[in-house]
Amino acid sequence: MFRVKLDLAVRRVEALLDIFMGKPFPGLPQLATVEQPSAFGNLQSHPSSDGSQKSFLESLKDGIFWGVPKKRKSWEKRHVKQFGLSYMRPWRPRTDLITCLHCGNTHEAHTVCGACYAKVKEETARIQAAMDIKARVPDHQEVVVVYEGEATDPTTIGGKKVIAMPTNRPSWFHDILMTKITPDNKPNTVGWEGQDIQEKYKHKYPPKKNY
Amino acid sequence: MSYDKIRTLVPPKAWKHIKATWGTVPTYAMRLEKIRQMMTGLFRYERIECHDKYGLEIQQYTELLLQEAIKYGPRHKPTMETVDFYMIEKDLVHKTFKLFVPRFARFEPPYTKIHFIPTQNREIKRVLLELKGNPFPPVEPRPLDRKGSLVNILLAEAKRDYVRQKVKAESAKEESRDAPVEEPVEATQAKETTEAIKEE
Repeated sequence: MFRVKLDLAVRRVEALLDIFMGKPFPGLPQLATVEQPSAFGNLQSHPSSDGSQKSFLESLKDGIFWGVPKKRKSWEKRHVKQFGLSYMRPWRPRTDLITCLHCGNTHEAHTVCGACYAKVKEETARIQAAMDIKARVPDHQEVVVVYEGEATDPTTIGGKKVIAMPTNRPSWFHDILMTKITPDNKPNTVGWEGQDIQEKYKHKYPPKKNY
Repeated sequence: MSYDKIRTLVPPKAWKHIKATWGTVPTYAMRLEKIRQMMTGLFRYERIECHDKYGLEIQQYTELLLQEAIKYGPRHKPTMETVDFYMIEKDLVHKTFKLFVPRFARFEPPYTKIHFIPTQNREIKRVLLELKGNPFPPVEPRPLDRKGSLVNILLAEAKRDYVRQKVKAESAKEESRDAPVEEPVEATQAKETTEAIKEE
């Protein structure tokens, strides 16, 4: 685009100079002119590198190195670009893989471990079936899941509905969830359960009302 | 209505709206329908798997809905209307106001969490969107106690060693300050002679 504009600009300047110098329009017979020595030198004719007669302004463009292919592109490069040949592309190492500290499988850094998640997914499906989550009832309750050998009160624990699972508790599903490892190495039991309703909402949800 | 901030990190992928089509034509109504379907699913199962572009957008919608429900409650007509609109199954309207709102009123937002799930195809990213405080086993495993690892044992011992040395140096300094000034040799000899004379 720039080259086209430059060409046009050069030709316009040369046309003006032709008029100034007395060169006739193309097609008309040339009038007799006397070659006068001019202060600018011979701007019109200037021998270029390849021998042909070129103007000074045209020859300036020879100094600019325009982008042009130097060598023929190889078969490999052409086909990789066009078809994306995977066997020709260079192999790159995967730096985003991490080993799960619990099961030892690898997974991408931004994801959850696939093997561990598969177990969790299966267990959640079982729990959801046991608690009949698809039932359309107006009284949904908070749920606590209890496994074999753990049940105390048959119906509720702390106001929550108990879902008794027939199997043993899996090792990766702990009793006290959302606990942090504190400096004394004691579990922090204040999680979702231990906190009180925020001050600003207390007028809306006073503790005595049973929702 | 004033809006609370949706306190989730919204990645650039979620800046673009879900594009749902009615046949071949994307319409705003179909987009809302899609959002409704996903939100009813989330509020029912408390944990849903979906494409990341859906999950990230629905996270924002649920956060705002829950914040409004907590702030205004079921007696506020516009809030009730919005919850009624987004919940296709109407028992979930009861569930939000009776279960989720008292549960989440204790805490600051965000009330949802997103976890990325591994997929076979690298182009597709799947996501697990869950409401916090659900009774199911956690997706993120418990953090391990790493005090037993070799590096941590060595570091702990090095720390104790450093503390011991410091304590030693300080105690040595204090001893040098508190120690009695030693008498010169002549004075001690003079003392001995005077004692000898006295005995005699």
